[in-house]
Amino acid sequence: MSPAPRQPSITRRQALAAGAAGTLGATSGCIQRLRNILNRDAHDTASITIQTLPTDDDHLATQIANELADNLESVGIDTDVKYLPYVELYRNVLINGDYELFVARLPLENDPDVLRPLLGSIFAEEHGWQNPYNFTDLTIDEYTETQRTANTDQRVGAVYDIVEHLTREQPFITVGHLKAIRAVYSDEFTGWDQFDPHSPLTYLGLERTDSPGDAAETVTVELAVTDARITRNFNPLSVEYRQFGTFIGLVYDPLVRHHDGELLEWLAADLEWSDGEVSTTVEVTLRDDLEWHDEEPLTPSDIAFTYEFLEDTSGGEADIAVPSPRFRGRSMLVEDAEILGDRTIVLEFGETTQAVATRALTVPILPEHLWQDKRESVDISGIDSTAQVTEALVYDNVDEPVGSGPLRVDGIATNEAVAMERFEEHFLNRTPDPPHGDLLGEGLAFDELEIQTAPSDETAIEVLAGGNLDATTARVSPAVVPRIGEHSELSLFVQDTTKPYHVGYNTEVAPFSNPNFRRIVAQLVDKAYFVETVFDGYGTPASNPLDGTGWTPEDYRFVDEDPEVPFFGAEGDVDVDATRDAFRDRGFAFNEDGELILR
Amino acid sequence: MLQSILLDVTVVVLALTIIGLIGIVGTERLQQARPYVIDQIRHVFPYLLLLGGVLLINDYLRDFGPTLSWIFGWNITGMIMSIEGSFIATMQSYSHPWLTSYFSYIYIYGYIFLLVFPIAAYLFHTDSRPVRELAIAYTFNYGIGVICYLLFIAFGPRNTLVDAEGLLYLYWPESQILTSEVNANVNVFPSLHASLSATVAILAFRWRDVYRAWFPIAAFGAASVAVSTMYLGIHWATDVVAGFVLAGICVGLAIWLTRPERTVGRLGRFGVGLRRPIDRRFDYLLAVVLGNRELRPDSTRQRSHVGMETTVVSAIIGIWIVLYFLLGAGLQTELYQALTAEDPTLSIPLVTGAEYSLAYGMLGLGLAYVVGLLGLQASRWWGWWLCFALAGAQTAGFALFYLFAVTSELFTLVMLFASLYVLLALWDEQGPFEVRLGERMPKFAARADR
Repeated sequence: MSPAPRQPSITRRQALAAGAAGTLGATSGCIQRLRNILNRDAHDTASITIQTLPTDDDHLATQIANELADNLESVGIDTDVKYLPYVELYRNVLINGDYELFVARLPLENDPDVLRPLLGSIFAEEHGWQNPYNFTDLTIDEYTETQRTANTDQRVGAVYDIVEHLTREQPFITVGHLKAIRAVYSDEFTGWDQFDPHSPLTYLGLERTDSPGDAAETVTVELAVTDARITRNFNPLSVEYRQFGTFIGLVYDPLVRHHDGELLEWLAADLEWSDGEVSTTVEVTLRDDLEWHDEEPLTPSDIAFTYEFLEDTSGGEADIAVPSPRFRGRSMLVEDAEILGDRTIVLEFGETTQAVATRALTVPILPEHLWQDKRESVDISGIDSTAQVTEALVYDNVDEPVGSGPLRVDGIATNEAVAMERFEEHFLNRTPDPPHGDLLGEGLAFDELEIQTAPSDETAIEVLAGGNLDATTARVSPAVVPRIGEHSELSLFVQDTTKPYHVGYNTEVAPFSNPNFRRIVAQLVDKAYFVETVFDGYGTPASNPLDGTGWTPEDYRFVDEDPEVPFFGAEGDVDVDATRDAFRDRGFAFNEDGELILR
Repeated sequence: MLQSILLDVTVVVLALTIIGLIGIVGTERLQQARPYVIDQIRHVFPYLLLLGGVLLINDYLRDFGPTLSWIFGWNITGMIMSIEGSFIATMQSYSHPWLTSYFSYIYIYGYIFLLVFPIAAYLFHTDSRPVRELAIAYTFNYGIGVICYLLFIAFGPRNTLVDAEGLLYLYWPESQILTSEVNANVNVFPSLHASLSATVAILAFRWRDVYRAWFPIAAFGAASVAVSTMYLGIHWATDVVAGFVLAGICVGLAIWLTRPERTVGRLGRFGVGLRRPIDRRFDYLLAVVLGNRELRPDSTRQRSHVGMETTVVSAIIGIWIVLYFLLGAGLQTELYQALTAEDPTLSIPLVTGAEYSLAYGMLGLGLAYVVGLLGLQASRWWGWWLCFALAGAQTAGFALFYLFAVTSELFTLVMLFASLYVLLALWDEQGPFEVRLGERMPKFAARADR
């Protein structure tokens, strides 16, 4: 099941040739003929492996992979599905590039600039969600750069161009957006659906329903999670352990946060933009008296350190830069940082519009005094050892992680729980009149937040209904919605998200380097059927990751069927003959057993 | 939640065992057994302790075993799926709500009963061999099982969802809190459910003359458990077959190891050597630890053996005492935090000083233990009393810890067993008013020859 390009068995053929040469050596014409036959590669039947998650981790991904494998089998492509837990799958796909096809969810932010690191060819060699498809396309490079530098109107055009080109090329198959589903038990808090369901703001913006009676009473929010990775690793840079970074975001603060198209100043109290001829810069003024959880002061030096560190976690020590596998697309926008005093720092973005540059301000800020000694390189198994790895990327950070966020980690029990408590020095907890009070209320609505792991969504719902917890996260499977409905004491929250399920190709490997092959495989995915059956209707099919956000031109939106790669068949059933004809039209062939041949 | 499930399981299995003892063993035999059942327990205790040790290793491996497996293990999910095709799917196509509930209860309650009952029942039999064979066979099952789990990675049918469903966890989600506590989802090859229940059934057949009603029940139960693992989508048929093979191997090894007549030849001597440490009654081991020359049987003939055992057992006791300080402090802290969390009005200021003083308190208790052991060795009356009181308090403590689930359940259970063991050994060593140690010497000599 090696994902490396298939090699014909040369040794056996060479041995044959040697033997044949010995016996038939006398006749030169014969040798010539033999050489002609033997030096031709035999036709290989196509055989591919789809990597995905087991049902315990994400049964939607499991089902999509199984159905796709069935459809590929039915048209004559031998397909295996390999089930790997999150960390192993992500390590194969995002770090080692060791895969042919994979099915997983794309953790994208809400801005078309996300496509630049996702598809840009300069990121093809990098780890993380930076071009995991190894896709190299000059047109995409050009358009993604344009949208970064163009003014608003031109930017829409450039993004449209990307979307059109992307849907044609199909470096991955966008299946659809799943809605965020959450079950809540207690009526102690309200406001579970005011914000992006996967944003830390959801928890920071909770409101208590009853007036706080006894001030001495500790108020705890207890949440059930089924993804236990947060209890094994709390490092914001460890890409294989992060999904959407919701809980990490409660502990590590950025300079600004986005909410509903608005900018919320976070560590930054004030931003002063200046758009020069060649370069956009911003003067960031930090809030007063910022502190890390270990009571060290947070200074502009930490900001400068963070941007430098994310670009090269080895701090120039390694032969080649070792960038962070997360936040890379955003941190690279910062070209220079200049500290101007106790609270002020100027960040320079080069040729980048303000709209894109603000994205760089949303990366989590790290404490320089703790991370500067995470620069040395390490060598561990499980990660490709030829690549240089720094301590920063493999550090598990579970022993008293220090951030500057409104919550501080109190303790982490591996595979069991994470306990957090309110960080009193945080600006949100400064009363009266904390910033964003109109949006987030007067300080946090609770003193402690505890995340407890549950083995499955079904178990989580039963435990929740037993009254032992307050809520689940917003990543509950649609399959348990009826179960939530059976318990009258639970309420259900459903919100839209833009984090699509997708099938990624390794476009470096034949036959996936051929866009025609990719397009036909994409036509074996019945998106509408998946949304109806696998998502139980809790989602929308999508032609591309930006479908449904307003950044997709009308002709390229998914309406009833995919505009570019409509399904071969109906209701999940593949029209085998039509698919085979499409393959033949594109120069592929089938052998007498009906198996697809790769020449 | 875990606590209430554990309590559920404990109560159900206990009730089933009592019913089984009355129904299968019979009240008459239970009463007749009274004179020797305690002796039997003492004799078999080292076997159960060994089993407990292996279980404890399994428990620790559950946390980091899968991580190791992903580094060097062999992922065989795809291979199993291609071998057996749609067997599980076919089986699940006959699913019915009644069958699902039957197999779910069999998988949790039935299985645990199947494992616990024969141990209890055979203790009431005059011969100790069945229960010793059973304990050794269990130990091998878990020991070999955990090695297989390290070497092979496989997801069960429910995790691949290829025409299969995780019926158990859909029907009874809470049970997964218990099963996920016991095992990781990549540990499916071989099925220990199948192998352990097959072990019980094979030994029930071997000793079918002891309790005539037990074999048919055990056979039916074992078959139900094996089918349940597949029907519920937890194991592949391949895992179950491998489990049966494992059961055969383990029973064979257990019979060989516990056979008393097989003592000649190189292999026989090897077997006896393997068995020696657990074939000692604990009171003998205690005598060895205490260095009581008088108490050692054949002290002249097998000096080297006794010397080695003394070192090993003393080392174990030493580690025990050190752990006792460390864990004692940890346990106390945990209990203390649990108390303050439960009732914040308790208003004990949580300072590290308190934790330190608790640790020192535990150190004091440990020292008291040492003093007691010394006193016991010097045949002082207070030595026995001190040790006995401490062991009693320790037993009660672990029982409480277990009930309130303060620490890892399995760890507490094993510690509870160990404490009980020390308590029994002390009770056996000295009646409350007998002080001299040497007097029981002939009894030891008689046992050692057995």
